Amino acid sequence: MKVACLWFSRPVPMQQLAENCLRLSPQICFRGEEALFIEYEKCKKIYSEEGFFVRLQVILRRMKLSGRVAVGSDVPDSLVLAKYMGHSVDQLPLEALLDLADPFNKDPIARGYIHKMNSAFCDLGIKDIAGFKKVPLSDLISRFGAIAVLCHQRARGEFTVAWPRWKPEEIIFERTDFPYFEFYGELSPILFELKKQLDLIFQRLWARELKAQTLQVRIYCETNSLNPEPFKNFDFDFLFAQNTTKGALNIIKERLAKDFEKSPILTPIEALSTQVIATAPHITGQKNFFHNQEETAEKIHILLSQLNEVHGKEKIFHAALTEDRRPERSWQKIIHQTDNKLKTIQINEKIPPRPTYLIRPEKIEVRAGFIFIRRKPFRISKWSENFERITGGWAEESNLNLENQHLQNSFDRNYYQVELETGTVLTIFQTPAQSYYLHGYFG
Amino acid sequence: MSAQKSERLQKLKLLIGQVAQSHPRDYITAPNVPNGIARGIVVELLGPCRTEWLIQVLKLHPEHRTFWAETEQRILPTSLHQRGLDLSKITFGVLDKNQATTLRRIIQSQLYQFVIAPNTFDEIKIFQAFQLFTEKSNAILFLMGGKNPTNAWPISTQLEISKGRGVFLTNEFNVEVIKQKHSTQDSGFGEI
Repeated sequence: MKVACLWFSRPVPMQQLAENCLRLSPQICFRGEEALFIEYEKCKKIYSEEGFFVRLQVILRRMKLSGRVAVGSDVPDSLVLAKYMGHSVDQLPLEALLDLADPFNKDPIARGYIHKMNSAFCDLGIKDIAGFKKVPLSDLISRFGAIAVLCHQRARGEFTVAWPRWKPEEIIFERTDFPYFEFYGELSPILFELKKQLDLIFQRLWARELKAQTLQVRIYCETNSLNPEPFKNFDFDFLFAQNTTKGALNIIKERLAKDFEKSPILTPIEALSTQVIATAPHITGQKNFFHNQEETAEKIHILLSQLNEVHGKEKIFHAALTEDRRPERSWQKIIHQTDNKLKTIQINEKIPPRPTYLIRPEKIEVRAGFIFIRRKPFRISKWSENFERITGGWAEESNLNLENQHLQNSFDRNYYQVELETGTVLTIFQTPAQSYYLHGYFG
Repeated sequence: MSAQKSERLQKLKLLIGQVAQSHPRDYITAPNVPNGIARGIVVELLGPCRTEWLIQVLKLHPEHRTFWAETEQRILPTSLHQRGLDLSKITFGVLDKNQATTLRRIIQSQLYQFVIAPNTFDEIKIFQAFQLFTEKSNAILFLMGGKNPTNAWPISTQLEISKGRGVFLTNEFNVEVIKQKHSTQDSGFGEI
């Protein structure tokens, strides 16, 4: 076996490099973003060793990468030779034992023991692998245990390493070409073709028990002086992962219609492609005979995803209570309500009734039995007997930008409920500066 | 002449009543509305206590899903929870554009039994579309009206809700029926 190891001193896009190196050999694996291993001896009938290195150089040059290459009989050999730039394993320092014993850097406990062993050998005056190999195995076992035996076997090349399985990431991609410039920037034919592509994509995803979380639709156009860009990209990160053409197509349609209205395509369309960028797991099984909750949830997810596309993020939401006593922070938006059981907080006995509508605090004046809202007087018919005091320290930021607040990052409010002559009940609060603010009303 | 007209009108009403009776409507209970509210209709709510009353209606039907649309976020979910509503059954939407299309889509989906939205519409066509879609999906669209009732025939019921006299923060309401088609469960047709 001949293994070439590419060692990089800086992190590199290893998945991409490994995919590019697949043309050299099918047996490839890598360690994080720093080392790539290629077994190339089995492909010697296809190309010579020199040819292999020339091809490897071309790949690295195209990817604008630079690294060190070393050839060994196994993964640990090639790794230590590339990392420590040595010609023989025997000449390497004792630190190389770390990589010989754990070439894929996956065992931090073993590394700890090897560190201790190395420092002990350094104290004894053994500083390289050749010296370590001369120590009798029986002495190693009694002093350092099994890990020393493993290091010894690896240094002697007696024990091979299993290659971790690596296969390139699967890409689900559909493309349709229009060689005869059948149509210009019209939406309907694009959607027609897109439906065909989505049908195929969702079939493939269904077979893999997956749903589409992120999709990319690309429209290739003929370029001219008016349209210099060769293609238009549309990235869709769905609120809920989609598993049907109908749901996804409606969302895509919304975006495309909006974009075509704003910036129409003036040149003929050459091709259309759809690619799945990210997926989510999907359980494909027998439909439940006793209830249709799953189907309803699926329908709700499709509808909410569509509404989210039209109205923007955070405009369609569920609500959950928080334990903050300030009315404006007593709840939070839940965008992804995956199940119907949200955390419930019992607040009924803890706080007085909150107003049904909450507004941004608006300064008002209270005098002579009247409330002046935007300088318009309203006669007060009732004033609540008790008030609710809400205070907080400097650590709790007040998101209300009130005037005359004596401390910038704190709040101190006395809440009252006031009934107007018209029958409307308001919630107002008073600050320490004796200012009144309208904060909500009962509808 | 006018007598003939009214007679003909009465005959037509009876005919429509017969059709309505052949497809009896389902009614939901509502506080202070003796015969309840028919499903599959558009209801306009007016008055200073309409939201509090509506919350009581939703509370009576905890199994139903609700879509609560507003033009800007004002409704306080904490208050809904305090009044006994299950927040997981309510989806909130801040619809600042394409309101009619969005509401139509929500009603058509048949996923929400109650849809609540501000009445910002003036075209009769939109109300007509809402009427048809609510009827088909058997949902109730509650439109939160302004000061005066909207003059649109597709709105089946208009209620003005005010607070009970001499009480401060209560669930007692005075419900004045301004307009109500499908008023009684017996006749199937009527207008007050």
